[in-house]
Amino acid sequence: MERSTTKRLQAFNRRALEYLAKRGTDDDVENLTDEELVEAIYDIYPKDAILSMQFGRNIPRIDNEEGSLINDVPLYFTRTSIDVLPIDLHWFYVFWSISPSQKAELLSKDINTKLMLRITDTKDNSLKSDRFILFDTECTFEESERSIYIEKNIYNLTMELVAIQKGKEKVIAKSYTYDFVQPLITEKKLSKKANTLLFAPLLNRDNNLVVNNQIISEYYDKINEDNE
Amino acid sequence: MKKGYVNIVLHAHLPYIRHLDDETVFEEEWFYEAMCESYMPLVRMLFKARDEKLKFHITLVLSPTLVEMIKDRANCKGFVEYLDKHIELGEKELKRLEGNDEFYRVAEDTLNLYKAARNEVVNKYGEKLINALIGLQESGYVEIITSVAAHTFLPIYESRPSLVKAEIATANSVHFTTFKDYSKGLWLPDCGYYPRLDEILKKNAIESQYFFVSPVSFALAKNNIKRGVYAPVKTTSGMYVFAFETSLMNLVTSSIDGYPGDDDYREFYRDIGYDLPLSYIGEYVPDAEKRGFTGYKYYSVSGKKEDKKVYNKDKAMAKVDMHSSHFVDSIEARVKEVGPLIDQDPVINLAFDAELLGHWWKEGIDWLYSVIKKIDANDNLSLITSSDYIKIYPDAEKASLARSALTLNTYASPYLDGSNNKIQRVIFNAIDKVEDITARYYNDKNPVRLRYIKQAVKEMLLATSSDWLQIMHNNTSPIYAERKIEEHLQSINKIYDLLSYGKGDTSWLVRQEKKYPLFDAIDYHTFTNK
Repeated sequence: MERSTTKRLQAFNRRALEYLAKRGTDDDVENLTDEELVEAIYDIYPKDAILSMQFGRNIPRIDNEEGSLINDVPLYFTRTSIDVLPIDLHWFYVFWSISPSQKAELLSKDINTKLMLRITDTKDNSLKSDRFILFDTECTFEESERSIYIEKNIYNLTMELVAIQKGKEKVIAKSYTYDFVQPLITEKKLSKKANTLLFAPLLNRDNNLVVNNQIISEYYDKINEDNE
Repeated sequence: MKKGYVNIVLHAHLPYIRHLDDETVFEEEWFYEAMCESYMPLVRMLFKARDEKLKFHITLVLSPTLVEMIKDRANCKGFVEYLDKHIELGEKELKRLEGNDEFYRVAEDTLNLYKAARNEVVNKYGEKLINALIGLQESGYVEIITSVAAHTFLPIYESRPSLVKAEIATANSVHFTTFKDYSKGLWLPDCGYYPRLDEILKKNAIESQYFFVSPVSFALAKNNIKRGVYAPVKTTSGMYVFAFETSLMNLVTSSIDGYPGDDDYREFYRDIGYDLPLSYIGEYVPDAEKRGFTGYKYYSVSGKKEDKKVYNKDKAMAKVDMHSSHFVDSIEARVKEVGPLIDQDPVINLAFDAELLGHWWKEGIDWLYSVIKKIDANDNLSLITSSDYIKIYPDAEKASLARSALTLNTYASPYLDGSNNKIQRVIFNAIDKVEDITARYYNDKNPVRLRYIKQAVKEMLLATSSDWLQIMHNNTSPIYAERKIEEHLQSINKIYDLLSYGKGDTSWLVRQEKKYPLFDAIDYHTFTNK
């Protein structure tokens, strides 16, 4: 081993060494000493790659690999909760947790308790209007996250974690409600002028929309049709 | 023809990076490169335009983390060392290139850039770089505004308003303590907006009147906005909102056919750090054992790697002239098109990353100077800030804007893809912990405990920086980004444990405070749902 590369690896903390070693060995890296981890890394990577591994730069990630440093941050403070994050017009990332005591309680009452993710919306822009179920999707106690696709354009999205015991439903966690303002495109006939004033920044040099957004495309087409 | 107002906003931001005692981390170079190649030449150019009595008003966004780094004397010292090293390399290069006129001229130009920066830092500003920016603000030609404390992409944390409030209030404090005035406007990172965010901004950003959004927010607003993106609207909370003219911005920023990709401009990626022997450049790159950028780049964009032509400044400047004319002509054409459609003089809002100008696109600052000059000479156009436009036209249409981000197709996809979405679970958990302790000790008077809470809030803000998510998304330095988030969250865990169950560890606290000497004016009371 050359001094420069060994020195480089010794600058890494334990978790980083484990992270690097995990990618190429079947050994249980947690049980290896620091020196053994360094040895393992030498077996996995060429020297140039090790030289490029200064912390903070150029350690490439392999897609979907496990071993993120973040997984080592203890969560404790676990409560039953559900959080939804809108990614784009149709995709939502949802993650949830059930506190150990609630999980024990649910399963002690009924070992066959089922879990469900419930996605709800309202019928218009108003947060006060009636809420309805968009769809339910079953999940398990082992799961804790999903990426959910919703095809329909939505107004006010809420997700709930529902426990079903002996046919009875109980909402055990409810997310924040997201407000998706929707343009009132069906109610107004917009002029060509509006098209220029609102959509010019969204067109490329060939006058095509640069935004891959279904609502914008529909809206833009409708204004063009209205003015033909 | 109606007059057209041109509202140019330059956005300067870097994540908070400070590893002065850790020789294995080199990310401070990002700061030094941006200072030398973008921020200082930009300040120089704007003072020059003022001295030439050009009529211009421009907005400069300085993110709070960048302001804190610029104010940090230790960073200034590091910057001078960086410049000395690059001046030494430049002088070696001039000797090496004697007799080779084409290359010599390019090396000399680069060397002069480092020398000019060093002279200003040491002799003009006495190693207080922030004075350059304060001077710019005081000149009256530049309106400096703030962003969000740690450049957090706010829509992700819509359901945690405590964090959003603390981000805004802290940014405002940093701006006030630095510039002795409240920021008149706000820059939302990536222009991430969600319905009713304006209400939080209004309550927590004292005296801020305006912010910016993507044109998607206007196009999909609940009501039809009659003046389109060519005038601001007013939200129900009373804030003015300006939307960007992204199609004109694309003339510069498009990765396919933007101006910076022209053959005659300087090629960023071809650097002697990759062309000359490691034994020669080793002591001038961040890590002596690995190749890296030195700043000495002798080729133009032209051709593929092997056939690139030597950079020719005269040819590049001719293109600057051509591209600035094209840009100003395009703005004028848009004003001619939209002017007759609305009942007031239109404003064209344009934003560019400050680091694009000078650092990535070497000629970018010359281009901007040329744009300023051409607008000054154009009777139909005038450069203006958002504040001044609002003064002329205080009556704006009311609007309920849609959620959007400057990344047009998305609400948040670069920040929530498979590379980084799992992190949100631990971040949300930490936010809940910080909310818990700020609520528990809201009226506490114990000075040491208050330092712990303040530190927890600071670490929470830094953990949510959009830069870490962006770095993971781009797969540039994902380990570094995860390490930063992990460090902040572990600190929050430690503070939570200390306050909840254990005795204090003041030596750890002092170390942590010294490690992150920023956001002094943080008010932990803002980090609550009260």
